[in-house]
Amino acid sequence: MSRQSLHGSLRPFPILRLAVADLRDEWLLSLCISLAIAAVLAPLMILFGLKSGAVEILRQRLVQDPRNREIRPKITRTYDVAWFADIKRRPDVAFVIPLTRGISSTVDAVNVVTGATGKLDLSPTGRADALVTENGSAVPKENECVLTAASAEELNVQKGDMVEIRTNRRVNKEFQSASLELKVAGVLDMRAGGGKIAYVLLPVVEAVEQYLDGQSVPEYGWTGTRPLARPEFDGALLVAGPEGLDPAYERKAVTDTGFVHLEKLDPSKMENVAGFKVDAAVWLLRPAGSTVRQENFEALKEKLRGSGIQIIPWVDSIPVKIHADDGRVFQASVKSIPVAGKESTPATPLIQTPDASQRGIPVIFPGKGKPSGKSDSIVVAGLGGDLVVPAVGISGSPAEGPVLMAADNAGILRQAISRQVERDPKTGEFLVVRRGYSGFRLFAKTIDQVDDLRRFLESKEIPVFHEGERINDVRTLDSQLSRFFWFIAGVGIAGAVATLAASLYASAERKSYELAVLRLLGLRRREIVQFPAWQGMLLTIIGFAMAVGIYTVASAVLGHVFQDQLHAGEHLTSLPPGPVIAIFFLLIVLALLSSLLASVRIFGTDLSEALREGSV
Amino acid sequence: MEWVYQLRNVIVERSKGGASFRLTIPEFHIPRGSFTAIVGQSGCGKSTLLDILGLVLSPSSADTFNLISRYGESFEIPGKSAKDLAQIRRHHLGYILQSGGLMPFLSVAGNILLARMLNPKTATDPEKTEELVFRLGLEDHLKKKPSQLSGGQRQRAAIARAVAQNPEIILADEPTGSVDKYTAAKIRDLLLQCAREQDIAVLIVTHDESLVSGIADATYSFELAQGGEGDLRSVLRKVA
Repeated sequence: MSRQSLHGSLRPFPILRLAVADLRDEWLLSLCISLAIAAVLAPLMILFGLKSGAVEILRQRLVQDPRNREIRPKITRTYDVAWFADIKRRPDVAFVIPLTRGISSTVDAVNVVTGATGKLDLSPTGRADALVTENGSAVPKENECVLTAASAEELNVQKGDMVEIRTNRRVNKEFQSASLELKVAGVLDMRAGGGKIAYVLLPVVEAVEQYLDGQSVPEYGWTGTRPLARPEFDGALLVAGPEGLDPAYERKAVTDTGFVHLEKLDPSKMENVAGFKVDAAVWLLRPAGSTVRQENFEALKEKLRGSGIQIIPWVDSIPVKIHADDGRVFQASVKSIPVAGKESTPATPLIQTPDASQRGIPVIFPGKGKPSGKSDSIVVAGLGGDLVVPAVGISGSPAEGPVLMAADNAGILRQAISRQVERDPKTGEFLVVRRGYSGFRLFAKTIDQVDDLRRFLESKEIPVFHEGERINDVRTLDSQLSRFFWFIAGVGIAGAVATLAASLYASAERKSYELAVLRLLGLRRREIVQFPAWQGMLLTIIGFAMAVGIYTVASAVLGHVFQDQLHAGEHLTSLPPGPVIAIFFLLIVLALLSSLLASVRIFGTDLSEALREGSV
Repeated sequence: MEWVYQLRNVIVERSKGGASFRLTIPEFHIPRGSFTAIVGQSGCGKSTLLDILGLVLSPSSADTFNLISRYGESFEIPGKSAKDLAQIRRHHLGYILQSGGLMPFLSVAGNILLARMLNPKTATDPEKTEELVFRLGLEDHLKKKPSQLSGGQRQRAAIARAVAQNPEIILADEPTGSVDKYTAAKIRDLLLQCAREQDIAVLIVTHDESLVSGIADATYSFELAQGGEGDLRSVLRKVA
């Protein structure tokens, strides 16, 4: 006799043990019920796995291809430096870089060894450019380029080879050419696109554009003009003799000159208004737009030829800060005054036109002291940034009040208000800094952020090219397949539950005698209810586990069959845990509900009748 | 005398298929440790009486219907809830059904352990159960399923389960109905032995009067009377 067998216990979970014992006793029947559940669930899992896997593959391919995260503007407009700084700060932007004018970015390229030639588009690149870094290359350094596969093929070059880019321009009917040798730092995968493009650092692209604009690029030894700042004025003073201004000249002054308003000024107040005295009749001419330039004065001079009227460029008071050599800062305003030899007027005082090589521009400071002879500076706050100008005092000392300077220089300061101007410390020349760029290349951090960025840019009236539609197509496919799946899943789960409910009901029917005996022995209603509930859960768990096993095998077979169509790391089927766990718990709940049906059967039978009718 | 059951003027009325049956129990007391027999032909009310005593069926009326535990606790059965009745069945009643009433999916040992599962506090301890198993000759059958046992072995296993439960009374419904006479006599003797040694009242319901004649402490039978329109009246009477 096995003593141990009588020293055991059916506790804890006595009803669970009874339910398990019953399932084990009828293991073949239990297996059949579980297999019936698995037979419904396994195809559903395979279907769901295929749906998830296929969508995930499409999504991964979308995610992995940086072109799908790229956004380019549809229209050309000026994007200034501040715009780029702002967009770069957005958390969903991984990379953004300016583009120069498209027409200025095409160059001739030559393989320096073989002489193979081709036309390439230069595209700027930089650190974190996913198109370059995720397509098999590093970002090029100075004097390097990265080529697309098509451009490398045309030039017959490989990584490490040298190519020469050439750009041509026509200046005064003369053809000019500039060239630059670049080392091929890498060749991109075909995935990066079929265009013939050379990716270079932004200064190279800017240099080509500058050269085509006729400007010089000293860094590469390319000759040309410099982007000198041109004075801008708010108007012109007309100083007439004692006979006044003939009405005919009044009309001429505002006809095709860029000037439209003529206003007579009180000569006695000129010193306060303009900073210099005038002993004659004075008119102020105002332009139609915001400012006038040298060509407007040329037109005005032509119109007033022979009138004896003096024309003096006029700049409204410009608010500036004076940074004195001793560290003090003064709020001041710049006023323009005529320059001897250029605009000969009765006005005083007259100062000499500054020489470009001087240490700074000559000014008359408002203070009563003497000029220090050292470098003070004047700072103008402009839209594009501050312009700091060294100032050499002719008279006076730095203080609050009007700072007088030659009209030409005041005109430069006037220009610095509306666009960025910088001073070349070597030459003393004022150069305009480029206003901005005509386009950009931008990469979102993830494909899910492309649409947000598109909406943001379009809200700023920047229509863009993007791959949002492809991304949305995948999402729509996912959504449609999900509906399709859930519909089938619903029908399938209903089938599985029907199988389970029928099995449990039949089991309760079959076991009515045994369950009645358990009731007779004193098991309470809530204990008896647990019997079919445990059995329903166990059969569901076994069926679910079998379905997972069948899915795993089928998944491996499918993966093997379609391995040629899959990239490394891709799986044709994948089961996301979330929905699978949700379905599992749904089945458990439904199994419990099914067991309720069995319970109804158990308690619907009269106990004494069940005892009489049953037999072992 | 210590009583396990006290019934006075208990009436049960049942109707089925248009015919009615009325069982009257004028006076029925079962002493502790006694061997009581209920005899009678089919349809006389034996099963109805057993259902009443097994707390499976509630009487239509009763002046007295009490179950008294060995600790002196008296349970007045009428008016008890289904939950309370289940508790009383669990702790105070043992059953042996015609076919044994064993769980077919449990081994003999499992069926005996079921008693301990139901009454972990009051059930007999493992050593006593072991002794009982020896006495019933089941020691070689503990791992077998009921379907692997003979009719007599099944009934012995059912006796073991009932006794292991340590109830106030064992209600045996035709326990010898499916065995030969020799085995029936052995089963009867085992039940009698339980009553005497374990101080458990045993009530045996049988159609075979000879099985209990001269052996039972008290024997009851039914007086049958035909009412109108197929109605049947039955009254429990002590015959020995």
